[in-house]
Amino acid sequence: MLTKLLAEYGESCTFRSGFSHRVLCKVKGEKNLSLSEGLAQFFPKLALASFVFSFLVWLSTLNFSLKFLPETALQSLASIAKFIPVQASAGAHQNTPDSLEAWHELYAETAPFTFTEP
Amino acid sequence: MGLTEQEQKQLDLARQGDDAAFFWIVETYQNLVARTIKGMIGNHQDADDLGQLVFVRFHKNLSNFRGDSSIGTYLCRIAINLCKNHIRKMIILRKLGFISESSETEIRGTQANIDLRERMRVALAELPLKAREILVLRYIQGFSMNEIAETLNIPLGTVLSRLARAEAKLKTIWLEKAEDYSVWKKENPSFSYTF
Repeated sequence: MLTKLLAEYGESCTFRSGFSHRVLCKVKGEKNLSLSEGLAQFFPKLALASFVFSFLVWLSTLNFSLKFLPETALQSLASIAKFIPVQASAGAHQNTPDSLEAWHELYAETAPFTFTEP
Repeated sequence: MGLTEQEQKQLDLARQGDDAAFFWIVETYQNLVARTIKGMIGNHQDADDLGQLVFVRFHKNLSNFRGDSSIGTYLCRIAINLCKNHIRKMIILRKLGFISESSETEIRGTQANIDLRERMRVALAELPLKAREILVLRYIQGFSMNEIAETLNIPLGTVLSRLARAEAKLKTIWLEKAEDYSVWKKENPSFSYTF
């Protein structure tokens, strides 16, 4: 019975009259698209692309030096970076700096640090 | 499942840019596409636009269509893919609040004049996509198991198991809904909820 109902529902499904003509117009319309119409169709994409591009240009003009980063972010970076000097000089981790200045001092001591291949 | 002589002839002419031949294809298959789309998304206002898009896409791919499957199967595949994309897009837009809550699962009309087709539309709209597509192809389009497997690009065994699950799910939804249709049930006491 549900099968019959599904089939009946299917039979009632049709497009509005003149569907074939609308399809043909659309197909022919796409085929004969003039330059201005083509541009109009792509304008939203073009606008979005130019916005993204301008944003990237604006970003590149900004001075992305570390001084713009908040101290907490710098400390997080430092805590990751300190892992290398710790390995380079055993025991250095015992003096883990708790402020940015202290970290800078510690880093200055271990700065001429060279990485050797194992 | 290849093409009939008539289909092949019209297809060749359409490839050469014959509008009349392409018109013949649209006329011949528009109901099949309508059934697929309206089975998938309901009697939505976008159904007509999606239908047009199916044929536009088919027209663009005329040169790539090798004729391994029938035109109907190929069009159904395009229609189902477009419907799935449409449904996913609607779900996202609804979640973001750009469109109001679905009217697909609402019954249109009062209880007394709700007809069975309207109920079926609602029941289908509540099914998951995979269940919906397989029921549409099997019972609305009347496709064979092999045709369904070809259209959905899945093995025959998967078609059978998915169909059994979809039937069970539809039956459950129908029974749940049936409780609300007390007026209709009184008028149709002999209705059996089986496939």
